[in-house]
Amino acid sequence: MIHGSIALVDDLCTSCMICARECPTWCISLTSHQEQVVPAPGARPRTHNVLDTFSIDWSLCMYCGVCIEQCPTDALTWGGAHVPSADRIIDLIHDRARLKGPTGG
Amino acid sequence: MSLYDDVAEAQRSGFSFLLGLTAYDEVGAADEIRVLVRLLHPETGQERSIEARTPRLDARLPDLSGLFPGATFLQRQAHDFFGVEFEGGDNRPLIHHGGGAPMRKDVLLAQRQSTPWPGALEPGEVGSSPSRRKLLPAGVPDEAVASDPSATAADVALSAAGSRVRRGR
Repeated sequence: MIHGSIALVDDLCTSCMICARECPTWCISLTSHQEQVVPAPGARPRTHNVLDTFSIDWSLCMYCGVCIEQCPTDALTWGGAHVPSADRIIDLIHDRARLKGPTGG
Repeated sequence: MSLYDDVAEAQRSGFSFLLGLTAYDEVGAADEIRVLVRLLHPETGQERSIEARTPRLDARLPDLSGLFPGATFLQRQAHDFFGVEFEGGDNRPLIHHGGGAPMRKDVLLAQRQSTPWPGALEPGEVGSSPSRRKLLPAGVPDEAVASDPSATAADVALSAAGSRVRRGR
């Protein structure tokens, strides 16, 4: 796969922060909150993280793939196509909706 | 034996191709800069690595351009980034014109100090609250070390090495 762009499969993301911490250029930002679910009636409630926002700043990304390699749930994958250019630098920050690749959720 | 003599001897014994010349900051292990010269024996394909150490505070080594004219470019690069003076050689800036020695481990990138690190958030957090776990990215030293005027270069370099989330697999 070419190192062209990175896609997020957000169903798989557990908001563990590993990608944001491992990124050498600090291009990944994400926020999340905690929710409680009761898996079965009478069961102990489980807390899990729910992803709120996820963005990659393509003006900083150097397409090294460390985030893809480190992601424990394979929620980040190579997206295939290259990231298109933009007129303004702010347009190079892609949010969750834009990071859904062809294979993404 | 000086670096010059070592390299000259290797060149005489057939290692006539200069593969590279680079430097490494030994801060923490020693207050020295290590300079590595890699040579190739074109007939046998054998490689040889020759190294020399020089004090960080006054880093100087002999100029090798008399043996390998191509070393000039690499020496200027080592001078730009690690502040190694090649005595009698060309020490004009080549790639980095800003002065200093930015590749030394105790030199901190100013932008890293002023930009908030996205990884400072804990899973499940939205805003930046003071983290329970003390996680620091590479390139940012602990505040206590950064604000301590008596911190040595080794302290700063060690503190700025970062606390990685996961070590290599």
